[in-house]
Amino acid sequence: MTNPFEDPDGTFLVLVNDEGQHSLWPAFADVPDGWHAKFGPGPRQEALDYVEANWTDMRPKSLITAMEMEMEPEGTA
Amino acid sequence: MHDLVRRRARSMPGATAVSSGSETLTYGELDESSERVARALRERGVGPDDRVGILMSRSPRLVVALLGVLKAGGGYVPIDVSYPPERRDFMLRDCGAATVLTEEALAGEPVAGAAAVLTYEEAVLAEPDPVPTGARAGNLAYIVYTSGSTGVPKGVMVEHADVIRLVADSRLDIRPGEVVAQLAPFSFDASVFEIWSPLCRGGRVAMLSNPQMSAAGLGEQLREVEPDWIFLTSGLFQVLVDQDPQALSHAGTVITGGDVLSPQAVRACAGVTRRATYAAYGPTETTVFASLHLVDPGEEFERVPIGGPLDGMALRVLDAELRPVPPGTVGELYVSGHGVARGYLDRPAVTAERFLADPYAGGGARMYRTGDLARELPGGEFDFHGRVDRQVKIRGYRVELGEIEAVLNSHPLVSSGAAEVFDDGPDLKRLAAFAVPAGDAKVTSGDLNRFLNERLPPYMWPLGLVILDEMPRDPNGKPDRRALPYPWTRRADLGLEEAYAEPRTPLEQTMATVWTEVLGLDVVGVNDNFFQLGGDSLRSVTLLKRLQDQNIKVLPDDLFDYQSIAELAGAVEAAGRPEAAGAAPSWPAGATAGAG
Repeated sequence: MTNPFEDPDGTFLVLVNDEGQHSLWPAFADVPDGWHAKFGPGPRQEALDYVEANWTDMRPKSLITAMEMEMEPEGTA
Repeated sequence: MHDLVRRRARSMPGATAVSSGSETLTYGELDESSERVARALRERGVGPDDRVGILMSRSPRLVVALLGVLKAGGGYVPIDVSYPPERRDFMLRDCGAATVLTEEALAGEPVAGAAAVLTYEEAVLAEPDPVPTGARAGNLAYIVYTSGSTGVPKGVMVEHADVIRLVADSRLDIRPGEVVAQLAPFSFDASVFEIWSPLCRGGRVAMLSNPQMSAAGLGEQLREVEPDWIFLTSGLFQVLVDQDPQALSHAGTVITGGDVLSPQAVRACAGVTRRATYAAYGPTETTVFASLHLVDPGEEFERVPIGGPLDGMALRVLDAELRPVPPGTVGELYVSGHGVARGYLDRPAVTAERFLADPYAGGGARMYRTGDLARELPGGEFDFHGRVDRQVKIRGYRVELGEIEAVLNSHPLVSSGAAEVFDDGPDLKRLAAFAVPAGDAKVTSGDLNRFLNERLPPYMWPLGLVILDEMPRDPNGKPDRRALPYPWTRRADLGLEEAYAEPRTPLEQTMATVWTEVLGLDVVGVNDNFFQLGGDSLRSVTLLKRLQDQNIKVLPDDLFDYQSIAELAGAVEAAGRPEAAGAAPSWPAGATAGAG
């Protein structure tokens, strides 16, 4: 059994959820609820390159927002 | 996490929070000292999601330091003092910690990168400063490094909420005042359970001192400390059950895991512990434990289940199309729910390969692809069937090394088993198994081969079965398979039941020389079976070719009909086949296939 995420010849999407988290995703499978495709379908390495280039802050979006709101009133910038 | 500890400190300031031998620290002292450390860190700019490297030896003040980092809002990165300097430098650079907390005794240790160094002794001089931190449930609590299959360690980012899920689990219900043994190195995530579960629930962290990790040392400590809870890695657990099972009667709840467990050992433990024995499963990426199995001392199983998920988690076994497989079928295990970590620090692509969209939870949830094979059992628990990446192909067959190990470990006289493939070149891969007998048990390679052969398909039968005195182990107590010895060098190590018998005729002498060369062994007896010497089909072809080169008339199927030198020589002579028996081999030693 080859894992669908390891298939070097497979076709992949890159999915993103509301928290900005990225997931490699095989193009043959339905996109799960709460996720949408930001890249693809394309080859595996291109999908991973897309993730590397675009998922630059790995904190969940809600946390980033909360942390920024906390910083602003203090004027620590 | 720190808020839960602080609440305990308010309600029970005089209760012991941490102990190590005769040294103790109350909740009140822990709370105050950690406020000081937090302030010193905050003054150096540490805030939410900042990483703080911790380079300190194991002692109660290390717990103060960890809590101080959390109170400052940061995430701690334990750097094991015993690690080689290159590894420590790598971790410090990789985690990007701007501050490293160390202690005076270690202040001379070089610290990589541009990190500012703060000693614990300096930090506790700061005034306590109980301001609320900016850290939220989603902020980083710690980073623990795991060695990836590629060999480059990856930092797993775990958030406060992930740890809270573990601490709040209904089966890990540590009560105020209960004693939890602290044994694991801080760089190993079992320490997260050992420290934060008791501290968040009002228990006591009892640091055990057992630097050699020996059964004798551990037994002594258990009798002295009488812990209500203890986590033991599978390796240490097995050694203790073998050498000093009564020590476990001094423990309340024993949790063990980390690698394949022997059913005999967990049953033996369940029979003596004061309370309960759990088999645990959990990758670092899903925060210490993902599942637990309560061991019934009377139950019979071939492999120890990994159990059912912790509260708020789900385990799913999926096929190659990401569909759930029917219960009872082996597939790949995915873990989802609370406790699935944020990902690998600064490795977005590797994170996106393993932390995936969860098709069965909805709402943008994620699941972690474990790389482990598992099967759902009747009743909703699961059992473990090895690593996906420990699947090897031998002569076209896909062999799961973990399957062989699980069967080997289920033998009543085996305390620890391992299987490995040795690759001597294209198509020359050979499977070997290694076993450490339980206690003083006498068990032979022949016994174990018969046991495996009754339970596994022929393509999974090891060509060598080596009895070891002890299993080589890595720093986390897991079998270090790369340190297993190459099995086919000395005949004496093969555990043959047959005594060595010298060649009696020139023909047998020639054959023995050729066999020795092809098999890469020191000597071969005339009654030894080719296949028990590590011979396989490709080596049999080579062997027959070499014999033909010596003008010995052997036929392609001969080795299957006549598996020893004596039998083969007898068949050749009976047929009147040899022409030039007795000539010395003409190829140089060591130039043959299979020479180890």
